[in-house]
Amino acid sequence: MSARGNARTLRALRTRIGDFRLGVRLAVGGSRTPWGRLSLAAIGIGLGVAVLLLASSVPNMKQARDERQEARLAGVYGAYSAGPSSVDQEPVLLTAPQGTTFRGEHITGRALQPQVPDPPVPAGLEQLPGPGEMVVSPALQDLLQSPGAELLRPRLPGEVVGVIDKEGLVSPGELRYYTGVTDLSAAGVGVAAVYPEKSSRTQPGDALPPQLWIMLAFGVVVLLVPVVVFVAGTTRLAEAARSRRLAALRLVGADGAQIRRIASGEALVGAVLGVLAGWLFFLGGRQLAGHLSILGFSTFVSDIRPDWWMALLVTLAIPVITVTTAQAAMRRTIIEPLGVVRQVAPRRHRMIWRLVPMILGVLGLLFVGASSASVTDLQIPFLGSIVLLLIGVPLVLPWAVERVVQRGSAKSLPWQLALRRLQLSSGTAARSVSAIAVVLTGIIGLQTFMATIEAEERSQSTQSPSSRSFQPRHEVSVRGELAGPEQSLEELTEALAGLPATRHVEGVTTVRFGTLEVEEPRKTRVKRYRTRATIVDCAMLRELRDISRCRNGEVFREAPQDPQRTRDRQPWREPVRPGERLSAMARHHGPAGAQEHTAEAATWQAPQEFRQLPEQTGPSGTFSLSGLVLTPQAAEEIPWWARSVQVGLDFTDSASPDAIERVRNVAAEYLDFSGAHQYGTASAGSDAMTTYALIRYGLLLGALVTFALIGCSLFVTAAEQIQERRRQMAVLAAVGTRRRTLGWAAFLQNAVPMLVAVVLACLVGLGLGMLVVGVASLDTLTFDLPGMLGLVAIAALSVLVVTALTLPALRRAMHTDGLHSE
Amino acid sequence: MSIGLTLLGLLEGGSRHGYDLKRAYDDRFGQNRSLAYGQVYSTLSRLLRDGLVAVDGVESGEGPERKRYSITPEGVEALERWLSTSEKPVADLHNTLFTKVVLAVLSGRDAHQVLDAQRRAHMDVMRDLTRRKSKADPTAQLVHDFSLFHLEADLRWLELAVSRLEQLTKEIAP
Amino acid sequence: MTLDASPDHREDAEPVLAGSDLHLSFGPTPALRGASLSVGAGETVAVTGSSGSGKSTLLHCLAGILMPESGQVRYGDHDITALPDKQRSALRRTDFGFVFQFGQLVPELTVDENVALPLRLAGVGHKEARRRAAHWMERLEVTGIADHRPGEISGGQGQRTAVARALVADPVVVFADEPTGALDSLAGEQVMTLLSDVAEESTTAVVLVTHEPRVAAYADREVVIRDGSTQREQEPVR
Repeated sequence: MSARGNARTLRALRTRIGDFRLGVRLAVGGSRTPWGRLSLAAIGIGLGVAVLLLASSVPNMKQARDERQEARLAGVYGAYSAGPSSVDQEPVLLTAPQGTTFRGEHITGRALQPQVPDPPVPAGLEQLPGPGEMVVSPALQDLLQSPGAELLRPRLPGEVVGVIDKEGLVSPGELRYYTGVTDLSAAGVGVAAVYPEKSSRTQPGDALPPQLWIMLAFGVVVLLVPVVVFVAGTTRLAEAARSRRLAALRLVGADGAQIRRIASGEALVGAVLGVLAGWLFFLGGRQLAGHLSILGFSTFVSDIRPDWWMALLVTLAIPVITVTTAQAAMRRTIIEPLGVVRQVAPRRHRMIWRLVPMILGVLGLLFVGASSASVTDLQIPFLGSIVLLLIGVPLVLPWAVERVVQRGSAKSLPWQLALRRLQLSSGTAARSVSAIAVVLTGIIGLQTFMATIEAEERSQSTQSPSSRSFQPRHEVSVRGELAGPEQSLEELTEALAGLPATRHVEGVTTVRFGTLEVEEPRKTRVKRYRTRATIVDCAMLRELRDISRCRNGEVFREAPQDPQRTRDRQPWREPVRPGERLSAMARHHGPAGAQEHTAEAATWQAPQEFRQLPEQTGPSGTFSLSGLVLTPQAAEEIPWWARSVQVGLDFTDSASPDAIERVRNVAAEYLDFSGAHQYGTASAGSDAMTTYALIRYGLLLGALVTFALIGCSLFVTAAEQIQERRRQMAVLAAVGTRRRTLGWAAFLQNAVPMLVAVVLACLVGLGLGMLVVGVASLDTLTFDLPGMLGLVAIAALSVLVVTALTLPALRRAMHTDGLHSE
Repeated sequence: MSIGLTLLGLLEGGSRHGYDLKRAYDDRFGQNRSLAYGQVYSTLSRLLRDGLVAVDGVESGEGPERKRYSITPEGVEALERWLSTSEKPVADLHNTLFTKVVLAVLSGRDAHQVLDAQRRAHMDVMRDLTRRKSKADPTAQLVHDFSLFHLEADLRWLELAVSRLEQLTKEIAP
Repeated sequence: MTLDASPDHREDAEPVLAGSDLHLSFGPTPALRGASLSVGAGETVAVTGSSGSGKSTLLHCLAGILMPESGQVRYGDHDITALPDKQRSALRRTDFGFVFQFGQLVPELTVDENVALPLRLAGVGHKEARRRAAHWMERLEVTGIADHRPGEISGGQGQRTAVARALVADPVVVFADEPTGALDSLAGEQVMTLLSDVAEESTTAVVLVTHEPRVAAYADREVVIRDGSTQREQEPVR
């Protein structure tokens, strides 16, 4: 290239940089920098960035938790053994899960019993706790030291000798302990044996069921798209003034590209400040999140970290979005600068291209719904379609608002003022509510989907008979195993009956029987589970079942329900044959030695004749009598370590909420691995239920945060409009317009776009919900009308609040001072 | 301002008696004072002498003799010259200008041109004054300012007159 | 090319800017219907007319801000109406200067930055732009307020700043649209005196739109526009 060419290129480059710098200069103008507007934009963008960073940290958070959980399992579990391992090795460590519940909170524990002098140590522990010692998580340590812990301490009597380190915990709030024991039996079915050779078995992380996945992914999209829309919106704060300024530049000779560059420079200042603020918010919020616990869910600060590429994406994408929006906003300034300078009403919006994203979204969802592949395999089309549909809302909204206000004709003065104003600037009005419209659309869609899932589950649960007929016979159910040969069920029930809150108590013991078999490939002897037996005396049996005749020493057998079916479903569960020799299975305890399964002491011979156990007619209650029922005299050969205990207990009416804790303490005194559950109290259900609740809770929280964000922007827009029209306000006030009239006009000016937004959001949201329901192949389409009304109420409320907040500004603007301001 | 030229203008519409001329003059232009008969006849005789009007005929009857006057081609020429000549911008200008505009409308001429010509004349003077003012001492500047503001007032009136021409034409056009 | 028919204006060999027979309507209302205007080097032409007569529209067409529906605007070898937007913008930056009545100074920028703006837009380096701006600020007597922002100075100072900005890039034509519209007599006089002096010195052509005769008197020539068309001067009465 020639020297002159180089010079020209250099000059062009310098012009470009100069334009950019001019834009920056316009945004940050020394003493008269519009700090208020700039900081609002920065805070707005910052909150958006923080939310996006947080959202992009979630996968890492889950992965970190999974990894630690996995490491913990691999370190402790090794391989499960229900009997002797096929490996010719003695286990180095025995372990069994323990745990209790204290005032509704679950405490997980693990009993550890080293078999060699140098056993492996679970992650997070320095060394194994000795017998009678405990190592606890920090949260549990706090709990044990908190007032009221005397109700917990009897259950966890071990001396605390250490604290579990972070790498042994899934979350900081986790309540967990390890305790050293000596009486675990390798033969126990509840006992895991760890062998020196490291098991490479890894559990795949729990994949979410498709419906939950859809709910979660849908929810995240629904919350994040408005954040992006909101961020884009903050760039357009004070747009009217900016357009006029840039239009003036355009008149003196700035060309389209220059205007775009200047606008970019200007927007970039806000975006860069916003991204910085976002990182600050994120890092600060992260610290805060380390101290929060929601529904028992807490997390380590260090786990909240986005992938580097996600962080980079957010950090770069936000400025790109703001710059793009700023450039798009300058379209009219570039095409007709004169109109902008003179504040001529802009031309009408065209509809067609604005509908394109929405139509694509609908088609996409229909495609995903019609496709035979699973949704989880079509993540990108699915999520992309939702994003398109949601993005379509702010695009269609200006058109809709414009149509509505063009149609409107007004008789009263406030209506006239509001409508005419909206006709002039329907774009600004629509923009101020576009983020809220997106949130509403998304949440209404989500609500429809969740309501449908719930309806589906309800209809399924009413169809299933088992859940219908379950009615507890007792208020409290206590389970556990006898702690030693000297303990007995009778002593336990007596001790429980001695508690002041106890009205009635009764209990049974149960045994699990198996048979010895030789397993083929390596000819090892394995004890296979066959049946369960309940030991009940005649008096109680008569209460439980409709039995006329019962003699001590008799054995009852459950009526075989269609033996063919039983065998098909559970082929190992053949009915016990008369005279068959069964072997009692240990759960945790047992005579020392892993080979104990062969011990004669553990065998029990079935009688030659069974009595038939009548079918259950009433509620099954606390004790389910399945398999065999043994009268105590028939069970004398069964050793203590094979006996589990089930106790049912009722409280008096005046029992305190802590009564259950006392029951647990007494149970722990007589039983090992005990637990007590009070029916009808809130207690976390299944894992899926917890996840469901967590997701719902998280979505609700996210929706609130988004709403708050958008409420701010709504307020800023409204305040800005007043600021921009101070002079007109002052003039109106000077000619004697009542403050009430202007207040009403301001309210209507906020309310009309909101109304349009709500109507549009309801329509699109319901459509979106229906489409996603279609994708999830659910049948019982249900609408969450109360939820929807609630949202509409929130929207209405936000209009009221925003109007109320802008009233002081309005009053100030109406002061005749406004006439003098230039 | 010339009464003679005004009478010529009134005669352009058709021949009239002297008495009619006085009436027409008083109607249109006599806002301040009406024309005396003597002045009418002396003016007419001067116009007759210059060959700008001619006597069509004399009607006799009761009272004084009534001569009918009409405009000659020379008269029309003189009138046109007058109308297209701008007046020197002086105070009391409006009387003359007003007369010119009304005559132009009455005779179906383009009154805009009367006004535009006048505007040009005014602007020429104003330009000249402005130029001189920039080189003048402050006292002289004040004097120039005075003239400029008065000239501007005339021009404002002219602008307004232009805007009102349509209305005026409707009202007085024959 | 139809030139202005006035015989008594300075008859330069070639006008620097000449618009002829321009037509433009905004929607159903015609704003220009057959307007023509030419201006020679160093000449100041006043465009006068009542409000709504189309005088600003004519200025915008001549400056390449608005595109007329028919007619042409010759500037040098170009027909401005045939140029693409980018080139028209470039022309406005380098060859034209502007003084408007409203919203012309960028409120965020100081006076000297405002003056240097056209140079910066044209890619002139920071120092050079400052130097040239300083010259014109001195000429327009606004050096004392160089660090102030438009909000802090008087209307007359603002318009003088605007004039300095219009002249800073050594334009061929300056377009002034009601430059004294919001000023009192004395401030207006100062602005106009400086503008006309400077234009004369630098042989810059000025198209001056005004409704005030006293302002129009600063021009060498006046073109009256009525109902969107320029009036022929010196046409004999029928």
